[in-house]
Amino acid sequence: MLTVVLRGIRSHVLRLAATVVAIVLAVGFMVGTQLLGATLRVSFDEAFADINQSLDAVVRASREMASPFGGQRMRIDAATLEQVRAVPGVAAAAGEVRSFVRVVDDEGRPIGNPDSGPPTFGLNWIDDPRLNAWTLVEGDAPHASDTVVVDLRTAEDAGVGPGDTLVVDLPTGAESFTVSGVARFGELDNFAGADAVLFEDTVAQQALGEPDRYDWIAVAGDAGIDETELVRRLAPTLPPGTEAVTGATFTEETAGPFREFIVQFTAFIGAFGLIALFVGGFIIYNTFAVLVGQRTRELALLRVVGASRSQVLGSVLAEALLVGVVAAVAGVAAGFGLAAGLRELLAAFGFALPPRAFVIEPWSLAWPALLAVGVTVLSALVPARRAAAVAPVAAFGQAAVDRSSTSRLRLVLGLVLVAVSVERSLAGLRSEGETAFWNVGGALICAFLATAVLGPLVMGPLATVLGAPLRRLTGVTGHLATENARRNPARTSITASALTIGVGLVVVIAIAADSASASITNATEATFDADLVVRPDSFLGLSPQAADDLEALEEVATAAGFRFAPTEVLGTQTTLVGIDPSRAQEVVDFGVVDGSLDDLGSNSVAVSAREAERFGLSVGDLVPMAFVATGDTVLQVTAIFEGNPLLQRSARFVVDHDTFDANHPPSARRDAQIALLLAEDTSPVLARAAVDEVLTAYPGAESQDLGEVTAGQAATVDQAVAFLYALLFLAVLIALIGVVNTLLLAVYERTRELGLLRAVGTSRRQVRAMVIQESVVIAVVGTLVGVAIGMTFGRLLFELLARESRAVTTFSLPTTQLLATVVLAALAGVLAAVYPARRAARLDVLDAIATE
Amino acid sequence: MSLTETPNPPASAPPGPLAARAEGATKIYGSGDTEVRALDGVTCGFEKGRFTAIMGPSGSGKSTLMHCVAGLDDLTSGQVFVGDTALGELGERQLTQLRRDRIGFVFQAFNLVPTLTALENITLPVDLAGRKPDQEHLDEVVRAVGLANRLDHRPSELSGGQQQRVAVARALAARPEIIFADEPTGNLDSRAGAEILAFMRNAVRELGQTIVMVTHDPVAAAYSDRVLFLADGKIVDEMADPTADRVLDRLKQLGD
Ligand SMILES: Nc1ncnc2c1ncn2[C@@H]1O[C@H](COP(=O)(O)OP(=O)(O)O)[C@@H](O)[C@H]1O
Ligand SMILES: [Mg+2]
Repeated sequence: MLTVVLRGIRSHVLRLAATVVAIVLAVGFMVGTQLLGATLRVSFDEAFADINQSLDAVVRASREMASPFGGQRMRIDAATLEQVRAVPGVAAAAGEVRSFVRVVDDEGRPIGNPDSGPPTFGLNWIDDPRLNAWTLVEGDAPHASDTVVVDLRTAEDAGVGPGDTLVVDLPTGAESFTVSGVARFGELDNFAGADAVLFEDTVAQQALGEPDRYDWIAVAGDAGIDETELVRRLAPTLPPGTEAVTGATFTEETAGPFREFIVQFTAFIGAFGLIALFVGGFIIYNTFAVLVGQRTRELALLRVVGASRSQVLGSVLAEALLVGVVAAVAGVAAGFGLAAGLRELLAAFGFALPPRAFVIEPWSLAWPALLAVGVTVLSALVPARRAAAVAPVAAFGQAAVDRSSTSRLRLVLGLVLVAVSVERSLAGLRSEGETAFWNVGGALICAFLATAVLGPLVMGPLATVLGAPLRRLTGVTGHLATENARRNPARTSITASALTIGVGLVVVIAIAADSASASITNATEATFDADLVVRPDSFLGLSPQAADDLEALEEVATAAGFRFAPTEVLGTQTTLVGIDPSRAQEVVDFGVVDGSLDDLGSNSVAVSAREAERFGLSVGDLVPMAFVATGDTVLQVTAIFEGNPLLQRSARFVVDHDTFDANHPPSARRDAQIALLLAEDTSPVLARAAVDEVLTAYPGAESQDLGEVTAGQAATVDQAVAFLYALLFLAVLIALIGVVNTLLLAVYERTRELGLLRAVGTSRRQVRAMVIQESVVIAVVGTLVGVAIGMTFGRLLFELLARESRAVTTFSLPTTQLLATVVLAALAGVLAAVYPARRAARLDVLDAIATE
Repeated sequence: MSLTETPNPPASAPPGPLAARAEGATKIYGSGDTEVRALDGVTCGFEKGRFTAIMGPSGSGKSTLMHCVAGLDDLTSGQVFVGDTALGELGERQLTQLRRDRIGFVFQAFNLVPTLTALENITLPVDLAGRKPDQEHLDEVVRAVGLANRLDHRPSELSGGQQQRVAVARALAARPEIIFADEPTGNLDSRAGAEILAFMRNAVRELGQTIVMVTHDPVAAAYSDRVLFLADGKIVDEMADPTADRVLDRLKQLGD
């Protein structure tokens, strides 16, 4: 029987090509991303471990405030350092300072770090080599107050070396330094992706943090002393509000979120590989169904000469297994190629990874391969059972074709799936949080399955409707194409369903993205009365001086600066905004519902209506809050504002600048955004020029009008969407390979008929047109169904998003994009048909009439 | 009668204008040891408005001759003409057009496009040319084949005999200069076969259609006006106004 299987494969190896390609692509994608993910994870773990090699303990403030830029803790007294050094078992201890800075060139232009790229850090130089992960490659440590060391990459980017001058923008203002040396961070050329400038200890404290305070203290223990033991000894000696943790804990805290991100990101991308494999299953099913159909006579003959049903079943499944295994193995190999290519690509974008061999985790390579083999065999199961059901007598009769595709079972199963899909959707609308998304996701899968099951029933009518214009346009070829598209409704609809999945997902994303963009635009326009917004291009923020300089301009009526910091309210982490109430109210519509923002002064806070409700606050109430520099305080609520959703989300607790500055270190007393209102009778163009002139003194700061602000935000959404599209492209590509596959199989099957058509005078061009039009009908049917499902679920997703995130408020249907999708699908249909059409046109006329 | 008694006829041109003819047509398949001379210098003509049958033992080259004269296959050497058109000089596209506009075909089986109805199959060549069918002629043909109430049936819903009648109707509908039929009754029972043959003979008699039919059945050949006998790729004899018995006799002699 095995011989039969092998011979079988050899005789129709070309017809299995599409199956193999689909599996190789899906498996390659999954293996490639897993491989790269694991390698990234391990190399960064190794890098962190290497850097913190001799770090045995860290002493720091116990309380952490979460913020989008990582946790922030109060700084600790420099005096603690001496106490720590005195603890027995401590071999060395050093205070560390860390903040954001900006390196600028001679003309004041920022160096390195594109807009959204990694930041530039300012650090203090630690002399003790046991605690200093930096190694000088050139020059000396920054021992003078006007010298700095820079990382190797920054030195190369800025073109500086020891002795050169470098301007650094600090929280306290821009200053000139002399480069004393260039250093590497462990094995890396820069600060694990970010840039770094290292200052002398006192300078660092004064310029980056707070005088006589450190962010934390790094401790190295004596040889032979255990980290835990060291922490146990340190703990009782520390001042209140301070804690000691092991070096391992500290490293894990640094590396953990990074690792977590890579793991989640890899899983997220891997999910698209699963979608691709799911789509691939449709192709595999089709291929085997056709192969079995074409071999009915041969299979019957096997039965005649004594093969049992289970042997026939086995022979088809064995073929599927063999094809699956071969393709999966090739897919794993392709995965290695993909990972290598992606690594090069990342390097080209500046994300140079530490040099390292690929981390091969056998299981992460095995599961995509096993899954692919499983999907292959499973997809071939129905065709195999059909093969086993072939009666021996079929060897003598005409080969029966086209099984009933309108069976009642199909209808019932399809309707059940539709019902489940509707039920899950409703459940999604009723449930909350993650559950809601899972419910709707389940509903979407059921909808796709329902399409595949019900497809054969609706394929005929749909093809007829779509074929009508073709028929009118091209006459008999359009007619033939339409008839061909509907003659094997099961096969055609499975092919179309594969496309439906990809297109459906694309449409869901398009709708969600368009709604997000529209919501952002609406909210921005509703929130800001500002004419211009000034933003820094780094976390460093803008000096408060900038707002004053801008307001001093004749052309500018108001320049309102906004500062942000993490805070704690009643023990809950949230964000704090610092404003100048009189200026800010000019540019932002706060929609105060109770109290007044004018009363905002020292020891008072304004609260958004949503947060007020959440914490049960009203005007006059006292709220316990905690700040990064000063810790616990109590503020009084003086105003409650409604604003709009965007404001509600970004501004929750608002204090005035004085209160803000009094409770935060200098490094935080900077504006993340300045909103400008222009003087009444100025030309916007001239005003903008004046503003930009002032901004030359603030490197990296940029002015944007409201249109540019929303465009910038929409661009961020677009980027995310483009990324998702790129990932979905794989599924769509496999679906298109499915179209090619179906057409090729059909051309092969219809050799005789095509020959007849040619004999009675169909030109090659007409044959080609016929195949292409059939392809277009299949592609457009699949796409239209996909658009319909996508629109339904896009609307559902919008409902969920609108409920979960206040950022999405406006439903928007990207009509142009949807139309473009359908047109593209038609074009893709043409493209998919090119090769099969050529094959069909090349067929030998005599093949049709040659007697068997 | 023996072969020597009829040594010459094929070489001399038959009387009357010709719808198609072959001159020294030779077709060789393969080369060296596997070389097969399917046609070996065949010269013959097919008169307009007549029903010609080509007979001969299996493998004698009947189908090859038909394919070559109909522009479905090309010769190794020699020439074929449809009307005054030398097929050897035509390109692929012109040959297709020639088949569509000037030639009709009836094959032994798989004559019809399964996705088209009977009527659509009949008008296929006209539709392919992008022309409007001549309704009067079409009605006449349809009536003659007796399919008026089956026109919207698919081939799978028709009997073998009905399918062949549709095929003949298709060949007639485009008013071709010549119709080639390769064993058109080979798959039919004798009654259905007789219907088709009578119908083809009527088309020749009443519509003035030219038909060339390949067959190995003497009864079928008896419907024709003239029979050409082929053996080993050569024309070896011909017979005017054949009857089944005479044809059978002649075949027996050829078989000896
Ligand atoms: N495509 C081909 N390749 C090789 N030999 C062929 C081919 N077609 C026909 N022949 C050979 O040419 C000869 C004539 O064939 P054919 O015209 O089909 O005979 P007939 O129709 O009289 O039975 C036969 O010997 C046949 O084997
Ligand atoms: Mg033959």
